[in-house]
Amino acid sequence: MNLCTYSLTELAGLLCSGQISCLELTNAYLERIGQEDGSIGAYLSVFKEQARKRAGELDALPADEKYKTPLWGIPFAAKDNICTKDRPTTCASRMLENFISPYSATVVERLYKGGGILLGKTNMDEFGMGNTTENSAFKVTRNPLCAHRVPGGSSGGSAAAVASFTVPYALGSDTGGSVRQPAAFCGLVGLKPTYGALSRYGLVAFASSLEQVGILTREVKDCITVFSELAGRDIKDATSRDFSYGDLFKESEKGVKGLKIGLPVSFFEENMDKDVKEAVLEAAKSFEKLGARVEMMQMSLPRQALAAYYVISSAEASSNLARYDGVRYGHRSSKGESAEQIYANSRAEGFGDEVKKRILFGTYVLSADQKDAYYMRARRQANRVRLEFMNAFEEFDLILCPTTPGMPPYLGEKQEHCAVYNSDLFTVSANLAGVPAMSLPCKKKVSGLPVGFQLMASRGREDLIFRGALAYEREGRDGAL
Amino acid sequence: MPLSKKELKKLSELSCIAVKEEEQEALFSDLCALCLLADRLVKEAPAEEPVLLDSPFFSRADEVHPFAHPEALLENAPKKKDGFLVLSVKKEEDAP
Repeated sequence: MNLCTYSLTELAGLLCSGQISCLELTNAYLERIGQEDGSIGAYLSVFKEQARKRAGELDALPADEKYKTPLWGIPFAAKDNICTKDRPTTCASRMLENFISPYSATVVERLYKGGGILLGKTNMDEFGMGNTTENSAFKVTRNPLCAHRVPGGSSGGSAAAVASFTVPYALGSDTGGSVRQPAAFCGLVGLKPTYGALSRYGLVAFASSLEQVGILTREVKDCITVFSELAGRDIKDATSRDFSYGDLFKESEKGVKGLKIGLPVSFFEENMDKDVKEAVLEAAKSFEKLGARVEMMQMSLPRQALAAYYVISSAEASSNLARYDGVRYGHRSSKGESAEQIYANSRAEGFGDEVKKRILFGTYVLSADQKDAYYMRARRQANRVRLEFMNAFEEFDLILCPTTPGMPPYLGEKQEHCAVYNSDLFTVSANLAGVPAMSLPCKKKVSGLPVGFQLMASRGREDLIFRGALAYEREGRDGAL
Repeated sequence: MPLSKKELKKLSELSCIAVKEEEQEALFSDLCALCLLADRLVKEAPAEEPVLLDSPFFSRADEVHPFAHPEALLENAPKKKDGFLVLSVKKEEDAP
């Protein structure tokens, strides 16, 4: 049997029944990483010895201390902007190349407490800025389904790790679609939870009002398992809260009969690949056949949300990344005679082009002359998007739309500036509104590659997303239609 | 987009990032693309304030964290002792 292809539920069963040990499972994944990751490049660091040691310790525990959670004894990977104690946390940046985190993020702590085994840290676009993972300062990550294409980003390493079966689930972060877009490109389930549902403590800040830790899995049930373990209030994150989700497994079994699903007309009118559009509309039809009411609905143009997103995220990035000056944190340049010169040279040497560009742009939109024209207008637009979603969810239980307007670009493909940013066109609205959103693979593929669609729900209603996602996944698997 | 190369120089100073002469052209072009995107806001999005929610926490998005829940804010408000705010600083957790 190839352990690496099993779902979390299956692995938990094998561990609980004593058919495999934690060490055997860990070794199986490490072996797989050894075979696959040389060509894919999903990981920035792999903790072979530490993972084996931890697995051995878990195996040695007395029986009554084992299997306390469904994730007990199961390995996971984390994006390299999530702090992990005594391990590197580089954010794929030269700026933090030698940074060893002195503490773990709350989400990682919760997985450790639940018996999780950290296998490695995954590649990403530097500080989460980008959507191809090509902005990493260290390596290129390839899409495991098509080696000439990108895996998406910025959590491209996490997505590639799960899609190449080198880990059963991985953590990412989603600021404007950074979990959902790579999930769509790699044929995975990617969840951006409600803002505040998961703690952000220990997630290196890029755009604090937008980002959330996200989850990448191969199956919907696996996603529910991980989300159930991680959700909940954390005293170390003032924006986190307890949404009292209840038994999400039970809720997810309810199906979609009677649910009202909206398709935002404006999203489908945007310039997008016609095959992608067809695949997503076909998914919508499946929901209708499963008993949901699917209707077109009015929402404002997503490109306005996209503009607001880039203004707000860049403004927050320019502020959040001000701490990396080579003195307080990060790479320090050996050039320069005054403190100002050392700061400026350290930042010039430590940050990559995309990060520099966003910082400069963020500084620009926050400058006294431009603040009203850009930043304040963007904040108003974000409020507008938020209100629009609130109104929409008065009438609809779920919103269904594409995850990306097109297929994954080829590695190194030179794209027009706007085309690069347009990749986030359908995902940023959920971040601006703070609502949960999940990307799921459509049943219909395009040129043999997966296409993703999103399900969104109102804040704290991940249960509705799980209901829809599970019903759709099962319908595909069982061929119920 | 009213961004000039002179402003780019000023921005690099404000952002504390040294930009080499040979990098300026590419950076300027990239920045202009972002600015063009942002200009959609100016051209297309309505300038007036959207209808706001009842809660005072949503009334001034620039002053109060737009997603902070009232309960969470109150719960996390710094506590006072003898009239002073009590702040806890944990040095070992002083990381980005």
